[in-house]
Amino acid sequence: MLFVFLRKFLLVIPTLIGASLIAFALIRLVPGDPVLNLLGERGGNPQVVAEMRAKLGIDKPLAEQYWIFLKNALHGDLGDSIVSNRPVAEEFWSRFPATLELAGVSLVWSILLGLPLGILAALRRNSALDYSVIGVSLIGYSMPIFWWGLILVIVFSVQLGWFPVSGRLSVFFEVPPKTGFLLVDSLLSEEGWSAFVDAVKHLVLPSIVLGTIPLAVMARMTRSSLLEVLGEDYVRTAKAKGLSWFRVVYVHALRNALIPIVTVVGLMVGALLTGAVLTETIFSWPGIGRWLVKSVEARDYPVIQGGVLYLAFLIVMVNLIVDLTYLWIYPRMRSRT
Amino acid sequence: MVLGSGWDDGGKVMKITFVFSILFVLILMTVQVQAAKTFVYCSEGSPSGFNPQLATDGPTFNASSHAIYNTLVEFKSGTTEVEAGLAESWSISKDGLTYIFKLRKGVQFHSNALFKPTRNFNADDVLFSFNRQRLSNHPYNKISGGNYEYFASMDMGKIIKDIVKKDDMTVEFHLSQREAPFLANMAMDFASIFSSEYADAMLKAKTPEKVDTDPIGTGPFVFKSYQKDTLIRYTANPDFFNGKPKIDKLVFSITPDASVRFQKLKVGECHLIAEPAPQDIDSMKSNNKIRVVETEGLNVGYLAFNTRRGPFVKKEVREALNMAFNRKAYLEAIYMNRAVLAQNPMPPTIWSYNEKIKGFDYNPEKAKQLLAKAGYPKGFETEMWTLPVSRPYNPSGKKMGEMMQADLAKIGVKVKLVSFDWPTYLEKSRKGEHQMIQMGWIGDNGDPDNFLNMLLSCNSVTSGSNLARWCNKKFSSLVEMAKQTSDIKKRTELYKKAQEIFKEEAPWATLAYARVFRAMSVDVVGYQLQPFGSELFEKVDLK
Amino acid sequence: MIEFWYLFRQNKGAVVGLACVLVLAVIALLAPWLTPHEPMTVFGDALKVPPFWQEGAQARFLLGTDDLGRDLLSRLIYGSRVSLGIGFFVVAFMTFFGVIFGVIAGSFEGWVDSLIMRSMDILMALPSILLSIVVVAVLGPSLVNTVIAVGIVSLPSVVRVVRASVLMEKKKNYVIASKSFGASWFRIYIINILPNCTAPLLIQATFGFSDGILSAAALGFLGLGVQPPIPEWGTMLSDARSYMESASWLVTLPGLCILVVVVAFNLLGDGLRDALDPKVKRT
Repeated sequence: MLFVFLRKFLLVIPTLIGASLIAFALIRLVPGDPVLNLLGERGGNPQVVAEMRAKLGIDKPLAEQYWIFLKNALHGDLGDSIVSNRPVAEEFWSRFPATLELAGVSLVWSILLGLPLGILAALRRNSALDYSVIGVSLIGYSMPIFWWGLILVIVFSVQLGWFPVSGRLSVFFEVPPKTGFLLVDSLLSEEGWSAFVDAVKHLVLPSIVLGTIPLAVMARMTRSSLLEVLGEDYVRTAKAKGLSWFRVVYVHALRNALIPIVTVVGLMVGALLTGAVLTETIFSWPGIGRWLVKSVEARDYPVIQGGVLYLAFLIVMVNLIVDLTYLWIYPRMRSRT
Repeated sequence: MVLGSGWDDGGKVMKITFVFSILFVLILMTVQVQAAKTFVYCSEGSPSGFNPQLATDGPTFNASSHAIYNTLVEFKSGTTEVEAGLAESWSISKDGLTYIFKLRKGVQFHSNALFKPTRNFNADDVLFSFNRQRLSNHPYNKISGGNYEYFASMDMGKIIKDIVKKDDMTVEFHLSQREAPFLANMAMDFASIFSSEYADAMLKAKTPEKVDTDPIGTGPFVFKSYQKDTLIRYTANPDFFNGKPKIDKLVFSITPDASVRFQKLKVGECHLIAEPAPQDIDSMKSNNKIRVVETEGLNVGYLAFNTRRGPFVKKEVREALNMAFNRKAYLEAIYMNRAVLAQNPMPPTIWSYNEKIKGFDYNPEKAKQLLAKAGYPKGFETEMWTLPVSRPYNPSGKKMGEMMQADLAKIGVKVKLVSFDWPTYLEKSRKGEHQMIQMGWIGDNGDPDNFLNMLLSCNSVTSGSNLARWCNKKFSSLVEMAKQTSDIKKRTELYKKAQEIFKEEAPWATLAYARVFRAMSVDVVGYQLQPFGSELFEKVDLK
Repeated sequence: MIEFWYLFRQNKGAVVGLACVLVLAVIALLAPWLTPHEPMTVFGDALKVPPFWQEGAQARFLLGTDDLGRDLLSRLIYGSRVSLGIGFFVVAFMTFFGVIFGVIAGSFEGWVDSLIMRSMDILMALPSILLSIVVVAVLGPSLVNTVIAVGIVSLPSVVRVVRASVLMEKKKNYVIASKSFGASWFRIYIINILPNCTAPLLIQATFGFSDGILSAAALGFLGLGVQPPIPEWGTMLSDARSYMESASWLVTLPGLCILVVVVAFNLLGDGLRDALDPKVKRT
C-alpha cells in the first residue's frame, strides 16, 4: 500500500511540471499581450510599450521565462499578477474559499439526497419511484447548467423573490473575513445568526445549480452498484441464511455506497472548475473560476501559470486520494493496478 | 426597618436608573444605527488595485482616485472645466513652460491602522506623487510592478522636465515644450496626490506596497476594506476639505453583469448602478421606484477605414461607404436611441466643436456612383473587424457589423465580419492588419487635443491609436500648432479648421456620441453625472 | 449483432433515445425545407415577437423572433445542424486521435506508452474548461476551433479506453497465434484487434457526442464558442441573457433544445452500454 502510494505520488511531479509547461506555453501562444490590454484604446508609442514589457519580464526568451517561473515556483513564489500587481498566491487564496464553500455545499447536499434516492430506487426496482429516479437523474446528468441557473434565477429570485439574485452576502452585513468561508465567518461575526441565514440564502441557488450533475451521478451510481451487489452470491446467501432484509441492505449498501461517493468526489473536482466557471459567472460569485477566465482575457500570464499549477495539484491529489480509496475499499483491485 | 426601607428605596432607585440607562443606551444605539447612512453603488467590475497611477480603467479610478484621492486641480462636477483642488490657485508663465501651483493649507490625510499623519498636506506630497512615476531611480518607482500606463501613454515623462519645490506650499512644474492641455492633465486620475509621509513610513517598515493596497489620500472617503471581486467599503472623511460627505458609509458592490445589476436595483440591493444596459432603460423608466438620469457623453464611436490598404486609399471610396451606412438605423437598433448621430471626430460637449459640419447623409445611389467613379463599379470584397467588447460608444459591435454588412451589400461591397478577443484585436489593429475596424474613444480630459491629436495625427500612427493610419500633413500641423498655443480663441479656430479637413478626407465613418446613463433608487438625492462617466459620491445623500 | 439488437430493443429508453437522435438528424438534414424563414434574415419590423402561446404573437413566427427580428424557430432548426455537426466532428476528432494514440500506447508499451499516458494525465490534470478557453483564445473563436478545443479536452478518455482494450485483447489466443505466424504490426493491431474494441469505443463516442454538444454550448455561453450570426444554441442563449425578463423565450427555448439533444444521446449511450458491456449483460 505504501509502495503504491509512493509510486503514484512520484508520478505527480512530472504531471505537474507538464501541466505548468502547457499552461505557460498556451497562454503565450494567445495573440495580444498584457501590456496592450492594459493600454486599451489609447495604444502607446512602441518605445513605451517595450519598456513596460521589459518591466514585466515578458521580453525575455521564452525558455528563460519558463526557467525563472519554475525556479521561483519551487521557492513558493508564483510571481505577481500583471493586472493587480499582487502576488498570485495571495490572489488565489483570497478567492479559493468562495469556490470551495460553494463546491463543498453542493457536494454535501447532492450526496445526502442522491444516496437515499439511489438506494430506494434499487430496492424498488422497476417501480414508479425507480423510473422517476432514473428519469430525473438522466435529465440532471444532461443539464446545461448555465441554462438551469438562469431559469432558477428568473423563477426564484426575480419572480418569487425568495433568494437573492447574486453574490455571497448582503452588503449590509459586515463580516470580517477570518477563514474565508462565509458560513463560518458569519457565525463568528457580530451579526451572527442573521448573517449566517443571509449567507445560506445566497448559497441556495448556486449550490443547486452546481450540485445538479453530482446528484444525478450519485443516484445513478448508487442504484446500479447496489443492484449489482444485491445480485451477487454472498448477498443471496446472506438472505438465504435468514438475515433481515434491512441488515443486508444496510451493511452492504453502506459499504458499497462508498464507491459512488468517492467517484462523485473525484468527478466533482474535474467538473468543479467547469461548473464553477459557469455558476460563478451567473451568480457573480467571487471565486476562482471567474477570476481565471478574466485573467485569460487580460493575458495575465503569471495568474494563468500559477492558478493552473494550483488547480492541477488539487486535481491530481484528489484523483490520487480517490484511487487510494478504491484500493482500500477493494483490496482485490490492487493486483490490477 | 427604616434603614431597610431606605435600602429598599435606594435599590428601587438604582433599579430604575439602571433600567433607564439601559433604555437610554438602547435608544442611543438605535439612533446611531439609523444615523449611519450606507450608500451602495453596484459597480461593473473589480478595481485592479487602489493606486490610480497604475491603472487605466474606470472601475479602478472610481474606487481609488475619485473616492480616496484629490488632484491639484479638479474637474468641476458635471463639466469638463478645471477648478481648484489641492492647489488653491495657479499661474502659467508667458512662454507657457512653467506652471506654478499654490497649495491649499490645512488639508489632512486619512489615517488607518498602519499610519497616522503628523503633518498636513504640502509640497513634498506633490513631488512624491509625480517623481514616483517620472524618475526611474525613485525608491518607489519599481514598487507594484512600476508600470505607470497613463502617465506613459500621455507622454508625461517627456513633457515634464522638472518639478521644483519653491516652499512648503508652492510647487513649480517646468515643461520641455508648450503643452496647452497640461492643466487639464493635472486633473486626471494619474495626477492624484499621495502622502509622502505615509510612503516614507511604509518604506521604513519594509512594506512599501501597502501604499498601493491600503491607500491613504485626502479625498471624501476613507478606505476601509476590500473583499476581492465582491465589496469595497469606505467611511466618510469627517475632515474632508470640501465638507464631510452626507452619507456615512459607502459600499461598492461589484456586479459585472448589467442585467443582474438591474435586478439588484429592483430588489433594493443597490442604490445606484453603473452602466445600465440600453435595452433595460425603458423598463427602468417605467418603474416608479427607479430614476434614470442621463447626460451627453464625452465619447465617439466610429468605423475607421485603413487608408493605407486596398480600395480605402481612395477618398471617393471612403466617402461612398460613408453614404452607404444608414447610421440612423444603427442608433435605433444598437444604441436604442440613447445616442446622438456623430458628425465630427469629437463630441459637441467639447469646446471648438465645429457645428457647421454636417456628416454624410444616407444615399446608397450616390454611393454607387462614387464607387464607380473610383473604379469599383461592381463594388469589391473586404473585411470589417467588429468590436469584441461592449463599450458605451458601441454597445454591440457584432450586431452593428451585421447591419453594416447588409448596408454595404446594397452598393455591391461584400464584407466579411471578423472579430478577435480584446487584446488580440488591439494588437492586430495597432499593426494595421485591418481593412475596416470599429473603434471608439472616451475622452480623458475634455481637451480637443485628446481626440484630434490622439486619434488622427501622423504621430499617432506610430503609437497605434490612429486606426485609419491616416497621416494628413495639413491636419497634423493644425493640431500641433493648436497644442503649442495657450490662447483659447486661436486654438478653437485651428481645431475647427482641422475638423473641416477631417470631413473632406473622411478617414472614418463617424457613428455616434453615446449618452451616459445611470439608474438609481428614487431615494438618492444630490447625484450628478460626470461627462467622463466617473462616479463622485461626496455630495450624494439618501432620503 | 442480432443479440445486440435484441438486447438493445429491450431497453425502452435506448429505443426512445435512438428515435430522438434519428428525428433530430432528419431535422438537421432537412433544415432548409423545414424552416419557414432564412435563419439569418432580419425582420426589422418584428423585433422580439413572442411565441404563439403568448399575447402579441404573429402567425408567421411560430416561436417568435429574437432581438434583431430573426425567426426563432428557423434559428433553432438550423441550430440543430450546428450542434449535431459539432457533436459529430468532436467525436470524429477524439476517436481518430484517440484510436491512434491508444493503439500505439497499448501495442508498444514501454516508454512510448508512458509518454502518451503521462501526456494524457497532464491533460486530465488541467481544468478542462480553462484548457478549452485557452485553446479557443489561441485559435480564435469559431466553429472549427470550438470543435478542436472540445475534442482535445475529451481526448484522454478515448485514449484510455482504447489502450485498455488493446492491452486486454493482445493477451488473447488469436493475437498470440497471428503473432506466431509473423503478422505485421498493422495486421495485428489494426485489422485483428481494433475491430474488437468497437464496443467500448461506440459507447464512448455516444457519450462524447453529448459531452461535446454540452461543452460547445458552454463555450458559446461564455461568448467564446461559435460566433453569431451562426445560430448555435449556447451562443443564442448567451446573447439573449439581457432579455431574460422582457423576452424569456429567447433563453428558455434554446436551452430546452440543448437539454433534449443531450438527453437523447445519453439515453442512447446508456442503452448501448447495457447491450454491449458484458459486465452489465450478466445481471
